[in-house]
Amino acid sequence: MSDFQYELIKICSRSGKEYYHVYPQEPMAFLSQDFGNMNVINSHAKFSVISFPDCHVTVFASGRMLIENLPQNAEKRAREIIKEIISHSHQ
Amino acid sequence: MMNQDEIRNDFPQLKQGFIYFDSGSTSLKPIPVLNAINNYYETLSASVGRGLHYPSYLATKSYDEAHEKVRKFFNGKGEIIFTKNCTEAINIIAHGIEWKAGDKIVTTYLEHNSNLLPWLNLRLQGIEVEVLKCETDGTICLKELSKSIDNRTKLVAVTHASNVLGTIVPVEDITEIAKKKGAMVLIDGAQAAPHLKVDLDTIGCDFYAASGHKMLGPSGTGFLFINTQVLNRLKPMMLGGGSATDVELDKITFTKSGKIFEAGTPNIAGGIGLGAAVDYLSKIGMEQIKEHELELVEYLMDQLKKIDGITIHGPRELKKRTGVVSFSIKDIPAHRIAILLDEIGGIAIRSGNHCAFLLCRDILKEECGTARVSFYIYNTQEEIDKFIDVLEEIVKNV
Repeated sequence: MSDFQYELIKICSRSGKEYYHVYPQEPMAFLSQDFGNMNVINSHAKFSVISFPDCHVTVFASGRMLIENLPQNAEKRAREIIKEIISHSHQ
Repeated sequence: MMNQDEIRNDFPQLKQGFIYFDSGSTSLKPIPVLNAINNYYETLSASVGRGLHYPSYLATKSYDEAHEKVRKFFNGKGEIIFTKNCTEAINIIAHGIEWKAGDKIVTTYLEHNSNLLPWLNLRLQGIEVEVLKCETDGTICLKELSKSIDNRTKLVAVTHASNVLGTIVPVEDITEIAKKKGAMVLIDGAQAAPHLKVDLDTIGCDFYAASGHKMLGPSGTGFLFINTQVLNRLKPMMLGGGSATDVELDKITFTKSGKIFEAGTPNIAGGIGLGAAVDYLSKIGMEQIKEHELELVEYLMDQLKKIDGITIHGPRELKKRTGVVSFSIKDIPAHRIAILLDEIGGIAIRSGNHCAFLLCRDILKEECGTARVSFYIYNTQEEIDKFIDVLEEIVKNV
């Protein structure tokens, strides 16, 4: 899954927190919702919500994601999180 | 009575099967509007007000007729200026009034950025801007408003309907109060013009700005009404083609009509499309449209109330609302609600601060904004049922 191609869009920045929208360039057939030992706080057939120390991420089977509440200027961190999620989804 | 099936058939985009509850951002476009745009490009394509050739005559006639349709539709005794959107219309006034340091503008916390930032920016020129707070349901206290308007107040700028709460603002009363104190009145009609019967002569305001693209018209269209009595108190924001009737090196004779505010070749196809949109709305009738939207709002609010942890924003009384319903759900940020609705149900809503930061943060205390459903003529009760099913699934699983 290292070839996961996506567009990262900053939705908004409010009160020191940022929201990012992750759009896969090609929607995936099905991104496994089994994220190994990651901290999944909500699990559904079509999406999961994963908790990170600094944010929550909603991950869809299509590969689309919403990253909530990252600190400001966190694009690099957002990309790290996406990489981590994609690598875990294949375990 | 609106024939819902016929109306829906006029909107090709609905055939894709998704549910569009974001008409507060921009509306879908019906076939007659698309045909009007195509017809211009296929048969009328020429510049307006410039050529002596026949295509130019026909294009000019269609473009001017579109202005007249809009003027009649809103019963305005003055000039209709076509703009690219409501924001541009408001900025024409912000740049057009001859301000002097010490002048005052009164506006409110209810405003969209388009009717707030142009005024706040004028503080750099020494203009005082008083921003009146509103209640959480969007009510503006008219006594407070009256107190705020003094002999320095040159302009009162208010929205006709809140884009976040759907609250209808009593613009006739506000205009009367402001006029008695000698202030000019600008109304941001972006969320009212597409949904309510607006009679500019009855309101009596000096300026009324609205978006064409929110009222079935093409993207890149809007309009500004300028009351004839104040036309000569404004400077044009831009000058160019069409601005002057004669030019010498040391003397410019400016165009006397509202055309001076449309310098350069305008969005002709868009303007003609906006005229077609007005025809379409006239055919259905604005009273019918309002009634239809309020039926949907009532039904949606009844269903939403059954969901645990939900807060519905805006007025409780239906008659004070347009077809907008904003809500929040405890512990689920608005953006997450929106993306889940889209991904699971193919339902488009708006989320966030809706370009109304002051209202969301300081009045509603919703740091992450709200989720907003906004209806139009093509929406149905069946769509609401599906929306509620998906929303319940989200609440149960998140």
